[in-house]
Amino acid sequence: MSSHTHNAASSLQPVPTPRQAGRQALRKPESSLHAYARSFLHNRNAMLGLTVIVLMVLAAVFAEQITGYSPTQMNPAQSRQPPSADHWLGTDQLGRDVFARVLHGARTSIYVGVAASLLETLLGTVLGAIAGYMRGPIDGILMRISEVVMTFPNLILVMIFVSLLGQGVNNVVLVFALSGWMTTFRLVRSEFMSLREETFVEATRSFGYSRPRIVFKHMLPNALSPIVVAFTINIAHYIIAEAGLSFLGLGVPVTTPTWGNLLSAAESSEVMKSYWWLWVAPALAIIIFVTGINFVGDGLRDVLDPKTRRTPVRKILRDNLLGKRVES
Amino acid sequence: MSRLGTDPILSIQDLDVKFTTSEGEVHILRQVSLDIERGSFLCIVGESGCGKSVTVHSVVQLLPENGEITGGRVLFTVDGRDQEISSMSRYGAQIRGIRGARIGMIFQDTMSSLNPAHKVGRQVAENLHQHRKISRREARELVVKMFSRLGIPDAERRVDAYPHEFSGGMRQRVMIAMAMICDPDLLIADEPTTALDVTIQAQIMELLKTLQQEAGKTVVLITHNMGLVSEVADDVAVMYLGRVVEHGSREQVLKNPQHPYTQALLQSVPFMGMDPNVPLRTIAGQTPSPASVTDGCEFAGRCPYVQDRCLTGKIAFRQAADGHVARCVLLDEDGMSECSRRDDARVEDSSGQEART
Repeated sequence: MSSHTHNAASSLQPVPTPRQAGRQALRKPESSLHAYARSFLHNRNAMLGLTVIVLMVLAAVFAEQITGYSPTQMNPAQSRQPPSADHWLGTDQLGRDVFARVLHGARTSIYVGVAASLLETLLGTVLGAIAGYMRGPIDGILMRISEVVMTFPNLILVMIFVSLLGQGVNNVVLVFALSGWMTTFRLVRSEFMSLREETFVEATRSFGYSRPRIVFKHMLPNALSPIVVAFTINIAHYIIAEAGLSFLGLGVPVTTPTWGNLLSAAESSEVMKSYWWLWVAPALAIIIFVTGINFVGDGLRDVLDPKTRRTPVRKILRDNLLGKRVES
Repeated sequence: MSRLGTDPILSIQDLDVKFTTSEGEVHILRQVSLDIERGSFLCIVGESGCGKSVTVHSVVQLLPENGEITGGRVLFTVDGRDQEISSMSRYGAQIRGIRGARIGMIFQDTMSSLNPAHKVGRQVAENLHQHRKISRREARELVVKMFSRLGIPDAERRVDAYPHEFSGGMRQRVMIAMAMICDPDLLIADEPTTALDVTIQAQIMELLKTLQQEAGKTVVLITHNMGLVSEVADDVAVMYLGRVVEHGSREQVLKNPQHPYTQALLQSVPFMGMDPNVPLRTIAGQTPSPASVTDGCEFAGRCPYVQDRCLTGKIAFRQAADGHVARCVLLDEDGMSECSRRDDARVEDSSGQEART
């Protein structure tokens, strides 16, 4: 596939004179990192997503400087104020600034999402790579374990783990990783099962490389793009999962503001109807951040996978629209 | 029994390989015996599924998981030391020290035999790092040197390219560089030019021949292309249905084939100047399933000279000339001269026919 696109792209270019061609041939090839970065920068959706994420992370980091309010400082006189110049997103029933709480909540929510996804991906990738490459009894045992874990409804499983480990930010991360590694495990396992049949993997065997070297150095980079995509999408997934769990009062302790803990304010229909700013703000924060993450994930997939790497859409459009048509 | 070699680098003795499939155990290799002379160029020929690849893969313990060596042994001799490869564990350090370092392998599919995720120079250097203590810079220099030696232009720059930036022929050169970088004694090429066009094929063959003649490597080439065989081989082994049926020097096997299968195989090769109105000779019948042949000669069902004694018992190798053996009962008697009557000139003609497979 890729060679076709390459050919198509090059046939759109004016034919270089021999001298130009000679000069091009002498140029050092572009480093892969550089090429990836350039291709990523040209992906409009990915850049939009990245901008949103970076802005939100910065806002979370500089929360104190931005709002000037403490997320925990109560002020009963200012209870349930609608958005105003003083309180941009209003106040809650205890008079705490909602904007400050959303920004501080972002810290914990993003941390939980990234950490849980990282741990889960790590666990799933290592186990999946081993199972997919080794097959046989090791694969059988790991598959049975993953099936057993999957037979439990996820929420029940999470609740069991939470009751065993207790509440707390890092416990939530651990619980998510323990209850969610199976999807990545299966993805990586099937990826490795098809990769192990590739000739280049057989070639690495024929050169006497050790199994860890074959699996992690030669096969893993070829399985990376679905893993990266899964990792980013899982960040979004765990942010939502944290919100759900905290909404039920099982996630991060209520004393720590998170987007989920903020959302749980909307448990009463009274809040839903009369005090919309209490739940719209954290809900929007979740939606925007999660969408941004997904955009970045898709962009990364376009860039990282050597098999799906393609010419930037803009270049194809420019070459075609400005009259440099391909003569067929 | 096989040919008597004076100094075999690899000796395959009565090798039996079985595969476990959904239909039960299938005997894929039966008593395969081959002595590969040090410094020689051996071609193993035969149709698809005859066990050519399985033979060389069992030599380096790279059979698929459902395949198993059930009998016989493989001796690999380097520096005057015999090593019994067939008794080594598949992933053990011992066999891994031989694979890549002592025996290099080149694969058929040039499009997928290189890792798309790594630069080619790094992939070639990896083999050096696996088998030797060597610095990155030294390894890189060796790789560049090897690339230039194998005719990859602009080697200094090309080591930093990815496989998708190479043409098929150049990829095969990279693959050969990977196999050659640790200076192995034996090079096994499993149909290395099937996916390449004729000119590139000729170049790659020339390269392998040069490596054999100038660097003193032993080369085993698996092919079903008789034209190639007539150009590069020193020795030829013909396989049919999991057995070696004939083994001898190139002249012996191509000019004076003894086994009816070899004869039929050679007659079915088209050649320049043949009468286009005469249909090409074919071998009657179909290749039987390896599971169905248990007794007698495996070619009996398709052989025009079949006799009662072909159908039962063990058919042993018979010597036709010095260093030329075939597994055929006809070699015992004078009847042979009649069935080996054929047009000798054809083989020379077909040598220009490497394009046709």
